[in-house]
Amino acid sequence: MMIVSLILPPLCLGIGLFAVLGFSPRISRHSTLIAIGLLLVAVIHLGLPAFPPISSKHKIIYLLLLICILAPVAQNLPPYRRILLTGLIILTAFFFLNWRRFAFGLPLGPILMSGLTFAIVPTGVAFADRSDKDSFLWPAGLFVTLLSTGLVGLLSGYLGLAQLGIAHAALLGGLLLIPFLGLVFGSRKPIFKIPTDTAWIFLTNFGVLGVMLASFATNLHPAAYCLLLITLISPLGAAYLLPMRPALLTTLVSCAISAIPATGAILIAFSHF
Amino acid sequence: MNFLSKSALAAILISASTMATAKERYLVHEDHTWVTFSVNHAGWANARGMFRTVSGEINFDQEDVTQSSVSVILEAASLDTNSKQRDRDMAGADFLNSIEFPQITFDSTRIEKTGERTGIVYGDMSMVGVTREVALDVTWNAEFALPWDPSTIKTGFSATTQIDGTDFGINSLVDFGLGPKINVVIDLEAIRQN
Repeated sequence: MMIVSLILPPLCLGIGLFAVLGFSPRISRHSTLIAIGLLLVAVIHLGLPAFPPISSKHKIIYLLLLICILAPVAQNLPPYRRILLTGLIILTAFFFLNWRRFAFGLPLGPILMSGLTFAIVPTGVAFADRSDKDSFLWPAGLFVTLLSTGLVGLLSGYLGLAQLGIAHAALLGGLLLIPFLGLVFGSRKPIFKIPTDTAWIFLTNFGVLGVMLASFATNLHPAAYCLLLITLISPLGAAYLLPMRPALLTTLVSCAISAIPATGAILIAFSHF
Repeated sequence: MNFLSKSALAAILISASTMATAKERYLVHEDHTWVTFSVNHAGWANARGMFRTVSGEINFDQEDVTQSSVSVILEAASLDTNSKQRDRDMAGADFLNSIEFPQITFDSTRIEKTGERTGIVYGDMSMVGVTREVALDVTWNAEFALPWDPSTIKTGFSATTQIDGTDFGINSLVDFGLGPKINVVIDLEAIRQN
């Protein structure tokens, strides 16, 4: 029952977002709508935050709000500036979430893992920008990444973040479900062009969640976290293996390749549980 | 200044000095202090636990206890519920969030005397970054020197209270069928400072 209540609302919201975006292709603020969806899911699971924020649970909502505000800006930026903006958001997340801890010493683990996030996520943005805009390549990989982030969070002693990761995966799943079914049942081209900024929104969202996981999960194994970051950039492998292939095949291969490090991350987290 | 004024001033100073010495300072004796709690676990049983690292200071005025004050600090990560995995989870971000808020503090704000050796100590309790007023029902048990060391004077208190975890924003308690009412029982010994 708990799992249904965790997955169903964001899944329905994702399908609703697809309906709005898919049937109103002239909507110019695709990315803002998706970012608002992510924020809404976070508020449903974590509650309305206090102002000024007290704990990281409140701060994450404000960081997602920041992504909502910056989404339309990012939509119109040249690629290298989008990469810079992503890096800046991750850096802001690190300092904003951890500033209280600087007073009594921040351990090396969270600093290194957040540093890796700072390096990997903008790399993902750089390649996602160059990839085929119509394909499911990056969204499929991101779906696996968010799902595995939730499971690793659960096994690392951070249920709140686990719920958020799984709920965000459900939102992305809802957004992709109908166009994916369209591919499965015969359409050679996606029936709905996934907004070009979907990958940026979800990559940046993962960057913020990743810094939170690295900073506050009491039982996080660094190797499990590194494998999550590899999962994030796994679509690069699919893009290399299958350039210009049918979207359905690319989607499945992207999921399969992403699932390899994701499974590793989950197994390490489980053995460390 | 005439003689009468000087005498009055001297009397006030002596009185103030006497009042100051009536209030003795004590430090919490960690090895002889038990801050324990129990919380209902989904109706099955009461889960129990304690905090192993406790420090604090009491300024105790035996003549007028309402003039006393107490401040206690618990290290949130020192939680012990007889299961290492559960301790890690309870100290984690979903519950006590000891990484962001390593200490739970209580600072008294006023004291009401209710009996010969009993009183209510009101104070601000801060946990997971939220501060709420909490009232402790306190009994002063005894005070005397250690039989083997007359220079060390020890006093002892027992206290109880009930708090609601959701008042402090720990809503995960409800998700896990815990509480959210938490019964707190404190037995505390403190050593008088010279």
